[in-house]
Parts: sequence; structure tokens; C-alpha cells
Amino acid sequence: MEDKHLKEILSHTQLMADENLKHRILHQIHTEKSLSPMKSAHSSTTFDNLLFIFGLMYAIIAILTIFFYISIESNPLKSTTFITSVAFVSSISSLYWLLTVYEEYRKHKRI
Amino acid sequence: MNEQELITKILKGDTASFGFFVDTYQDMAMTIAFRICRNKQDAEDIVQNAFVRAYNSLNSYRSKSKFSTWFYRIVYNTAISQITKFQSKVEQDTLGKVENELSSLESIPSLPIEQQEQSDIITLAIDQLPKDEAVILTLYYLEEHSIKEVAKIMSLTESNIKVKLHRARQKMQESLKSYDYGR
Repeated sequence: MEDKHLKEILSHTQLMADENLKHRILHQIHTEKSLSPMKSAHSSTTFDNLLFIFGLMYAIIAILTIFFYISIESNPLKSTTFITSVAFVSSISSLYWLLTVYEEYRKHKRI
Repeated sequence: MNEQELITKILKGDTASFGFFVDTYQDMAMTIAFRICRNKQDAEDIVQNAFVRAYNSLNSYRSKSKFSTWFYRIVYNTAISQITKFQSKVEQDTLGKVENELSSLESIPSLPIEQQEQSDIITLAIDQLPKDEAVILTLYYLEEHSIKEVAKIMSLTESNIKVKLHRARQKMQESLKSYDYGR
């Protein structure tokens, strides 16, 4: 069979896409595009919260360390009050961060 | 405006320009997808997914190769990966169902009955070929891609494509003879 003949008979078998296929494709692209900035905003908010909460936590712990060092004039790690205070501050911060992440997750799921 | 300029526009955020690529390549993409899944609805889903994938990875397109080669490779890979999902459905398809499908296609709506019958015979003959050989025939003869480009699209070697093309031509000829095509 000649190439020319085969090409000619195959030309009858080319499909035509439905008229609304183009619309469906562009609609999906637009939808995905409009959703993508929300995704990045969501991740940046979570990261900002993380920095803020744990930044504050370490700042409080640093102040406590200085305060205990000056007031008891020895290694603060030997003081039970210091250890308890640090544990309290870190657990409150962790709990707060956990709640923030959960809230962000709920908001994102609603969208 | 050429394709490269349009791609630059799209990458800058002009989504509407992507419509040009959809208009230009959707019919051939449909044909390639249909050769693999042999179901019009699934072929449409494959083409839609392929276009979205192409849009999302447009920044990875290098103008060294033709846009069509790059895009048909995406269509082929999308079809191959999705066909496993449709596999059970496709296996249940009988020849009769394929014939029904053929009658619903809009490829040649205005042909006279005799020509329509001939066209159905050709489509049946293609459907009897293995999927990869049907795709090779389509790309080589309909889209006029070179052996090298077909090899790139299907991730096969050039010699492999040559062998499959030769085999597909022979099978096609035998099928058409058995249907008394052209008499």
C-alpha cells in the first residue's frame, strides 16, 4: 500500500473535539489558577504563625533565664521554679500553635 | 504571533492565549487519545487533563523541539497512565460497541453513505491494530511527524518505530482486504 494512499484513507478517521471541550479546558485552568494564590497564602500564614509563636516563646525563655540568673546568681537549670516556668511557657506556646494550625486547616477545608 | 511568543505571553499570566493551542491541537489530541482508549468520553477526559498538564508545565517546554511533539508526548503519557483506570471498562467493550461508537463520531458528518461505510471500515481496521501501532500510523501519516519525532513522543527507539510502522502498514492492508475495502 502506498504511503500517499494510506495517508488519504487515514485522513477520514481524524476525530473532531466537541465544541464545549475548549470551554471545559479553559474553565479548569482558570479555576486552578484562581485557587493557587490561596494555597500559597495559606502556607505563608502558617509559616508566619510558627515564626511569631515560637519567636515569642524563645524570647520569654531568654528573659526568664536572664532573670533567674541575676536573681539566684547561679545556674538557672538547677532551679525547679525555672524548669517549671520554661515547661509551662513552651507547652502553652505549643498548644497555641497547634490550635492555630487546626484553625487554618479548617478555614482551608471550607474554601 | 508565533507559538513561542504566545507561550511567553501565557507564562506572563495571559491564560486566554492558551485558547490558541487548544484550538490548534485538540482534534489531533482527541484522535491520539481515542486510538489508545477507544472510547470518546474517556478520550475527552484524557485530552482535558493533558491540556491542563501542558499549561501547568509550560515553563519546562524548550523550543528545541516542536510544540506539537512536546504536547503529544503529554497526551500519550496521560492516556497511557489513565488507561489502567479504564482498563476493565475497555476490556468489556465488544466490537459491536465500537461500531456504535463509530456511528456517534463527528469526524465526517456530511459524507455520502458509501463513503461513510468506507470510512467505518478504515476505522474498524485501525481499531484492530495494537494501540501503539494505531498511534504510530496516526502520528506518521495524519500529523506527518518524522520517525524521530514519533520516537520522542512515544519514548521508543527510532528502529522500534520503523518496525512497528512496517507491521502496522501490513496489518492495515490485510484488514482492508478482508473487509473488501474499495471494491
